[in-house]
Amino acid sequence: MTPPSYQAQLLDRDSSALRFSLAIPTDSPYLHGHFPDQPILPGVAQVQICTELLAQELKIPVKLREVLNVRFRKPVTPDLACEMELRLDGYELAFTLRSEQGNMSEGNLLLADRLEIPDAEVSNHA
Amino acid sequence: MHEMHEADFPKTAAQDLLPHGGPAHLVPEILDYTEDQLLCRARFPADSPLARDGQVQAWLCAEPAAQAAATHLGLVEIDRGTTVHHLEGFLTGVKNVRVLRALVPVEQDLTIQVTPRGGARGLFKYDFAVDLDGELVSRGQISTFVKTR
Repeated sequence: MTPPSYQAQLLDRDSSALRFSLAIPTDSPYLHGHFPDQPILPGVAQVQICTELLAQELKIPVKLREVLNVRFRKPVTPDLACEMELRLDGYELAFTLRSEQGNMSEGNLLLADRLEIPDAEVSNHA
Repeated sequence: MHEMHEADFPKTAAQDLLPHGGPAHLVPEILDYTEDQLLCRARFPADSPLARDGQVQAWLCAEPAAQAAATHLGLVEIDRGTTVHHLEGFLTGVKNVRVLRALVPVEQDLTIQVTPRGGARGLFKYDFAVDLDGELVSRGQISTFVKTR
């Protein structure tokens, strides 16, 4: 059985933002070969996780039209406790990945569809 | 993309230049190289951790493009007489990546062209364009940090 690529849990949400705890297990497939002697989470995987967490919470596919600007500031190593914050404003999705080391990465993405974070109560009953 | 001429270089040099292993290594073959650009073949293997149900979102081609850029940097260093093996580095930024096709299948050959746009102190910028069967699937800019000697 393939181990999970990442472990995430929703910490809080409001009408425009979601915040998750995030960790990359040492046996994450993302780390296979990246790199053999010094495993770090690929930068693009951080953006993929961002879109997958949003899709999971909204329960709809999330497609990107454009990656406007993403900065990868520090290598994300296995088991590092992180928080990922997503901010949604129509077609624009901004993310920040933080740890005790500070901002690990942040970026702005343009979505193919206009999305909204539903009210939590509505979401629970959807 | 422009038609390019085959140059005198080892087509598999990327395997020696890049530190990536297993499913993370995405650039198996260099098609052409000059100091001004690199053209290579890339593919996402079926066991790529970036794949979902046998497909990869096209914007994720920024990853093989980054590997192509690192390969280009390595070949430039070799041209300058430096011995290069498994360059250390990582992607530092992605910008203005247009998604022109939503998904690309795994195990399909992609053609990637990277063009250097300057750099210093180990930080380098490249434009990239990725096509599949002659169709442009994504293009944009990447920044990468590579330890060069």
